[in-house]
Amino acid sequence: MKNSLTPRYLVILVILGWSFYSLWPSLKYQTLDEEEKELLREQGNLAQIESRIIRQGLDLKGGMYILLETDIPTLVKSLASNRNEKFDDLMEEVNKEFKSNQGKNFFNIFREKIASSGIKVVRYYHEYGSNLEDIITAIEDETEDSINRVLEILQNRIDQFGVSEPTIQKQGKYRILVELAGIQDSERARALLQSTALLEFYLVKNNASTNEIISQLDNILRKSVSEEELATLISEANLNTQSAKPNNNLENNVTTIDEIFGETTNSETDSLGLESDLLLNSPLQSLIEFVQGDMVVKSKNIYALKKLLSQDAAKLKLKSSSGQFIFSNDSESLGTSGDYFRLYYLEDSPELTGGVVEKAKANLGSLGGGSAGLPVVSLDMNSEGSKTWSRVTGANIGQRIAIVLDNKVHMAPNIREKIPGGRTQIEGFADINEAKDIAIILRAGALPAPVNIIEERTVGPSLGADSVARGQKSILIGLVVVFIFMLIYYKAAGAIANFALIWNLVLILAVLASLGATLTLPGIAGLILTVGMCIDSNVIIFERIREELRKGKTPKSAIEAGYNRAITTIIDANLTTVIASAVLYQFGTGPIKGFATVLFWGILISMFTAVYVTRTIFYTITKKSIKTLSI
Amino acid sequence: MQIIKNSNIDFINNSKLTILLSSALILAGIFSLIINNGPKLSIDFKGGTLIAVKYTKPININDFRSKLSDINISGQKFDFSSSEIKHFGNTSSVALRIASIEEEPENFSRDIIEILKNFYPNSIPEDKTDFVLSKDKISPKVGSELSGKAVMAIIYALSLILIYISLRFEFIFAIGAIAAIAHDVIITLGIFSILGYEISLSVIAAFLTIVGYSLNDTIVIFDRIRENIKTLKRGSIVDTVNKSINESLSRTIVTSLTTLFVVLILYFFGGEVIHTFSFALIVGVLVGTYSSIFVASLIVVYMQPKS
Repeated sequence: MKNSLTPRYLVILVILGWSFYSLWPSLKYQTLDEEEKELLREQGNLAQIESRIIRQGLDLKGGMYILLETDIPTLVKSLASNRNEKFDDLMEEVNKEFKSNQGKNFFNIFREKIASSGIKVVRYYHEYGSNLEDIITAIEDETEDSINRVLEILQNRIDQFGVSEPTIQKQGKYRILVELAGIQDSERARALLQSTALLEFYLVKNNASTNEIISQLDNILRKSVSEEELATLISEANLNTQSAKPNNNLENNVTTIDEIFGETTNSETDSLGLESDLLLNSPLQSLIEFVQGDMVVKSKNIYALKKLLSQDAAKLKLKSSSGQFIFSNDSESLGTSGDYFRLYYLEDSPELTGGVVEKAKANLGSLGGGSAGLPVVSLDMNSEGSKTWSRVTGANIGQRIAIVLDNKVHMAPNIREKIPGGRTQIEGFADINEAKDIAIILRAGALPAPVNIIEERTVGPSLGADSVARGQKSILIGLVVVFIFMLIYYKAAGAIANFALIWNLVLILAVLASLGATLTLPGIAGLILTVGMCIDSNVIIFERIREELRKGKTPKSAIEAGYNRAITTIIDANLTTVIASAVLYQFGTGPIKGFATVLFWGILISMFTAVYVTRTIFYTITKKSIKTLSI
Repeated sequence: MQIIKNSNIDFINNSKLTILLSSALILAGIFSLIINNGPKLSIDFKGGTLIAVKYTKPININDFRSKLSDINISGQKFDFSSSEIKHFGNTSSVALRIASIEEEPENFSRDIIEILKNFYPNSIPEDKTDFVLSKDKISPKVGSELSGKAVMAIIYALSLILIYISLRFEFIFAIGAIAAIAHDVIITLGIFSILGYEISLSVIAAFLTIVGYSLNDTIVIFDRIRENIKTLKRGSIVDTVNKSINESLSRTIVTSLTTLFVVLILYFFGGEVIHTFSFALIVGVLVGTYSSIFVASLIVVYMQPKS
């Protein structure tokens, strides 16, 4: 008997040793304070420890999970050359179908539409091949390439942003998953990821042509937009005009476009009725005001204005006049009348784009300049960019040039002199952090394709900490309740089961640590659930032993029979839960995966602790033949 | 100590009560599901935005709701007063669920959080980063993908289990087990629908756990039946099944109790994030225990070929 138990003790000892070995880094990490961590980081040892500890999931640590999807339609469209209206219409259709038919592959739709429209696609994609199939294959490759570049650029941005242990990985073909733990300002991180970082320099059109296009557009809009449509748009805007009306201060500060261009409406004495007429007659003019020569629009009217400008007729007109309207990047308050965005009428093709940027650095504007003390980003261009920049600035002295980032005008300074050497400065940031972030994205380069955030989950730091505290509390209470119950119900045998239970928990944690798994809140729930389920194996065994004892067997043979009979039941019963948790692991994301991992290992381990370990203990006890069994 | 001693309850011949209770529960659930147009899905499956924020003073939901009726984001007007608004954990935290918007303004979630801050500017936590407890934003596209995945997960789990039980037992046992699971999930789904609780990803995880748990219980009893069929060759199937359920009754109740303890603790102490998750588990443990004692074996008896 003595000999037959030795191998059991050995197995148990080895596993016990292994579990302490794998838990050691986690325990050690717990006791480290920030300073010691910093020291280890400098020595380069921290990463090694961190790879072997149980990591906390985003829902416990706080942080954000973002799933980005590359905007394939825009990318494919941008690859085309010699684009014309026919092509744009086709892409519009493809896009519509793609949006309404989520499951379908974009390139299949693209192929079908091209085939059915009979359009000669080679004309637009001649660089990619000479027939439809070649072109589509080449574009598909190009798309995948772009996504890999997007991945690289995002990686670069995040690295410079400074987040500990970020996760950035491709998911599927066109998606990128980003996990940032412990992030405080989720909006900042969001902007950093989503920004395309497309930097462009456009000439601003002069006042005369601006004035002309606005009245031309008003004429068109008056004709093409039905009165009701206009009225609904305006009813929203109207309300704002009303609320701003009593403010005389505003009237002094802001001159309406009509005064500047000498139109007849007398806005100072407007009644509400006249105001609505004006809105109906010249919708654009009534929404746009002028400040120091810049067009400005109340932030509340932005939506109405954008709506008007996106009317088909207006778009057509803008296209033919080779100009475009772009808003400033941020609103500013003028006088006391609320927030305004500046509006610029720009040439439709850029003089220079951001690909030429070599260095970008955020700092505070130097003294003496117009931007003294304000956050600015200083740019250095490469030689090619410098040449173009000095040519453009030289040729357009006295004109304004707009610096446009991601389709928003950051500033539109007057060109006072030719700028050689390819240096320039961007202003118009809310704070130094924003300037820093913009510098980062300009350095990392523009994304080859825009990305959209299709899933975002953010857990604030306080909720995470709360969840950890609650999880710990639940586990403790759960354990205590189950312990007491088992002690009362099964006496000494209950104590053995409790011992197995503790060991089960320790082993689960050890496995999680050695797998480098992440513990999530549902994972903690899984731990608690395992407490309930692990005890089940012992309940099954103990009930069997009791039955055998009732039949009059000796403790020793009752234990033997009880275990032997219970084992098949336990395996059959637990395997179904193992199957369920394996399926969960397959389909789940983040937190759910954490739950499935814990449940899966918890049950497997419970078969070892609740069966093997307790059996060994029972054998040890019954080595000396005892008469009664406390069960 | 023992809760049940040598019980001898006739579970099979008192089946009328079982059938009555189960069909009442199932019908009530199905009725509620029909009038509510199916289960109430969370943003995980429908897409939308869920924002939970923390104020420092208790918030009146109706007041909060009325403030949401006229929201202006860059000139675009919204009326969110019919959105779902609840307290989140305690009365000073609020969770707001907004369905996905077709023409969503840029920086929508940033702007809406600013607006929420301005509702009660004097009750904002000192550390501003504590204001937003959590923010989930899911596009309808991802939502529909996740629903597809969830359905597939349930189908996979059920078929794998069906195969496993058919291999280990007889096919009629597999039918009995699957019927019991379906019974449990439909009732839990019905109770969720009646109480107006949402089905989220974590609730699906809870459902799969219920499936595993209920099967666990069922199989312990089936195991006994299998064993007793071998040893009591002469007894009728009804007697054998009754004997088996009675023999394992003590275990079934003890295990259900311990599991129920822990899920109740999860429900009461686990916090808001896993509240519905643990609620699903509570319902699942109760219904699962009931179904493995009363429903699964009953079906096996009914399906038994009459010889």
